[in-house]
Amino acid sequence: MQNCRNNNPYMRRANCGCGNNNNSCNSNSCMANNDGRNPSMAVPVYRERSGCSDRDDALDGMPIAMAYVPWQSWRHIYEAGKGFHRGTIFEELDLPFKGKGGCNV
Amino acid sequence: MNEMQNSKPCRKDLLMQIGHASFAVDDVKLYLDTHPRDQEALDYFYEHNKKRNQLLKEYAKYYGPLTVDTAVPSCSDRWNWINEPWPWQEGGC
Repeated sequence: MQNCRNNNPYMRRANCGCGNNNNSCNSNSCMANNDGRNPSMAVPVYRERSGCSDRDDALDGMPIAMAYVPWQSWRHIYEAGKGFHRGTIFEELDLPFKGKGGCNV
Repeated sequence: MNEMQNSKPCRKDLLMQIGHASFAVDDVKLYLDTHPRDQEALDYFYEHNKKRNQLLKEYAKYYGPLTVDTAVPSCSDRWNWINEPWPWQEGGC
């Protein structure tokens, strides 16, 4: 939904992200308002204070649905037998799964 | 390898080594998909792929082909495909 805002400095292009560049993203279906006529509609506000929504979010204010993956380098390679048992030949990808993180702290 | 040529290698050991080499090859393949010019990764791929092929041939020589690639005439004078243990069966030594 927030993709409809075109005043976002992180967006590469100043279109609405709705799949076209015409004014259709000013429709109510997008919930956002591009010209500020109705600021209260600009950002959907989630008022529920449960689950993850009541936690401090270090990324608060950043655009949603944006992710990054650092470029991997060829380093710290396991010997084949160890890689087989660890499920990866890359030590950097051999991360513990603890069944928590995110909302499951 | 010379030791293997003189005596029948342990089936379990061979399968384990084939598993290790195969996994290494599969994992480095994924890396090469995004880093096609990484020479160290290419070297790693060729080294382990060569080792895997050698192990598969070695296995086929004594126990029959694991894949159709090693189902070559020199393996046997008959069709042994169904005589070998299936993947879910215990191979044993």
